[in-house]
Amino acid sequence: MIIQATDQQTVARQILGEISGRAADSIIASTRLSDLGLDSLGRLTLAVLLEERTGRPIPDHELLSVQTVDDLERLLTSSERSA
Amino acid sequence: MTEKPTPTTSRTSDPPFIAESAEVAPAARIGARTRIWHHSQVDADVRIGEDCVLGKGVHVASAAVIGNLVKIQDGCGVFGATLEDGVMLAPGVYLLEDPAPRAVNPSGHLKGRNDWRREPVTIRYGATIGANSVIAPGVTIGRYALVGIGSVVGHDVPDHGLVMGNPARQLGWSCMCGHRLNDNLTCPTCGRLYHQRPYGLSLAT
Repeated sequence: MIIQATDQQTVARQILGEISGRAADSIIASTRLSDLGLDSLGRLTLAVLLEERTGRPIPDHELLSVQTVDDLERLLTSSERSA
Repeated sequence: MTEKPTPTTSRTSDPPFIAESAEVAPAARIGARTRIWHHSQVDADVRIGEDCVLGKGVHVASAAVIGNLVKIQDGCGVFGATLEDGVMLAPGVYLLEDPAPRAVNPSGHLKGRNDWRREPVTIRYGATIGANSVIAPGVTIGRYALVGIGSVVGHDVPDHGLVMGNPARQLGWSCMCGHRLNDNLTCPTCGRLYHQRPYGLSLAT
């Protein structure tokens, strides 16, 4: 299944919404993951759900550098291009 | 001493405490003021430093070397590992050392002491291993690293690395004080600031 960049954005915000308990449409590109209350377990859940739903592995060092929703969506988009 | 374990003998003016039900081999070297609680077992070739605590039912075997001020809580298994000072193992942690575990060798005989190659775990200064975690043979856990509850760690963890899960993944960084660092590598609790290094993090000077 090919997932386009816009879908990746939806997937990222949808998952962040599920984990944080906030509405997905209230999460914007500049939102920081720490502002969503993501602790280490939240980040682990994020990594696993993203990999399950996009079908792509996300290396730990790449996820470590993610601070904002925008960072996350760029990461997913770049992995889409390189796939 | 700050990093490398230099265990001492039990012949000091301040001897270790060993519970009556614990089995500590006479040849094991146990440091001053170390306490070994009920039903724990320490084998003959083991060295343990000063001011340590071994909880109930801990087994330390296979020439493990344990530094000073180490806490090993109930039910842990430490097989051949090197634990630097200030390490904490929460209850039920297992540190393994056989990368090719078999009961028998290819000719069908029970494997003996010389039938396998040891690859023990190394846990560096101040690191904490969460309850019921398992560390695979040969893995090194970095200084002040933090392994989350129930993790299975198959790869080295950098200094101050925060890892969790099965297989364990690095999800952030942990402070000396045990809290998770924020995005700026600063501890929200104690305010310490860190810098990225090739081997993990170190305190900013």
